[in-house]
Amino acid sequence: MKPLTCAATRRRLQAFHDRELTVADQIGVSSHLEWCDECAAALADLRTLASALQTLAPGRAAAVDEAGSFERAVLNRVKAEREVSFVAQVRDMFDDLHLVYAGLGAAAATVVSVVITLSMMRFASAERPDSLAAILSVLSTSVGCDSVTDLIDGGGCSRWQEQFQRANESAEQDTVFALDAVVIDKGRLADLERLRSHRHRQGAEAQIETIEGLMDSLYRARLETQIPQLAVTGNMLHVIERATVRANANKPLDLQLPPGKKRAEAGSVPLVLALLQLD
Amino acid sequence: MLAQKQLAQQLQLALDRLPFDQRTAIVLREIDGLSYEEIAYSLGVAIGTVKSRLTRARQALRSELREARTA
Repeated sequence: MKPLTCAATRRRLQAFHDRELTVADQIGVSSHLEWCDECAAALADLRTLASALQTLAPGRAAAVDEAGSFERAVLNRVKAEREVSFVAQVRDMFDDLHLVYAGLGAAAATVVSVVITLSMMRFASAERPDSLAAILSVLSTSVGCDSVTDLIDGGGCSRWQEQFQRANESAEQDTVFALDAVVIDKGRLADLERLRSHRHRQGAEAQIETIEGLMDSLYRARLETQIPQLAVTGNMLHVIERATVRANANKPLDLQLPPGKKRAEAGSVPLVLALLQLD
Repeated sequence: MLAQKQLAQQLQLALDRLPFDQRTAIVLREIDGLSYEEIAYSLGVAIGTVKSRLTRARQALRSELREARTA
């Protein structure tokens, strides 16, 4: 063991006097004091001072000897209770701020994720307006109009017309028209005459002409009457299939389409045909 | 005997002149016999603070004792 110098011994002398040194330091200081008279004199001063102070309160010092062990036991017990207390554990937890930062970061990330998810659920549209599902949704939505007259005039059908416009404007390849007409079992369209009677209304002439052209095409389709061997559903699908207007390369419709719209590709298979095959 | 009584009086005066923190630390250590850790826990300070207070208190009291002996 390396011997201590006088300076090192003086730094440890007070703790040595108070018996607060480790065993190794106590051995080092003791071995130094055996041959160093100056450090031994300093230690003697400390002991003289201690004895002088103890003479100031002799009764108290004697009581200390008796109650010393009990007092230390109480203090150690209090210290042990404090170390295992909840407050002490929380304080120890916050001593290492890395855990606090990690917890705060995880909480912030969770909050941001929840906010983003709720925003997406709130603002994201359910479907593209030009998708087939959206078009079918528009076609299947109740118009809410009393007659075709209200549809042309635009009164009371704002929501339906909004969906119709959105689906129509978003379509890039096909032009979609939703017609409100009733196909009867005799193979003709009801209310077509009423639709024609409004052809001179303001602001809708171009659209009326387009719809009228589609209606003429429906008339030229020569709708057949019921087929006895098919069920009612099959008859309806047959009529709808025959009434479906689609672009044909051999016989194009002479319609005025809105600018930016293209005609549908010839030969596209209608959805109704697929339904017929399933039936 | 008279000299010891005078020395004790001088020491008591020197102890009273000490700052409260140093006086408390030296009394708890030398008279009550508490350890550094117990003093620190009792006063609510760090162990290093207890050591420094004890050192300053002992230096002051030793100088008072030297003056009393020489006088």
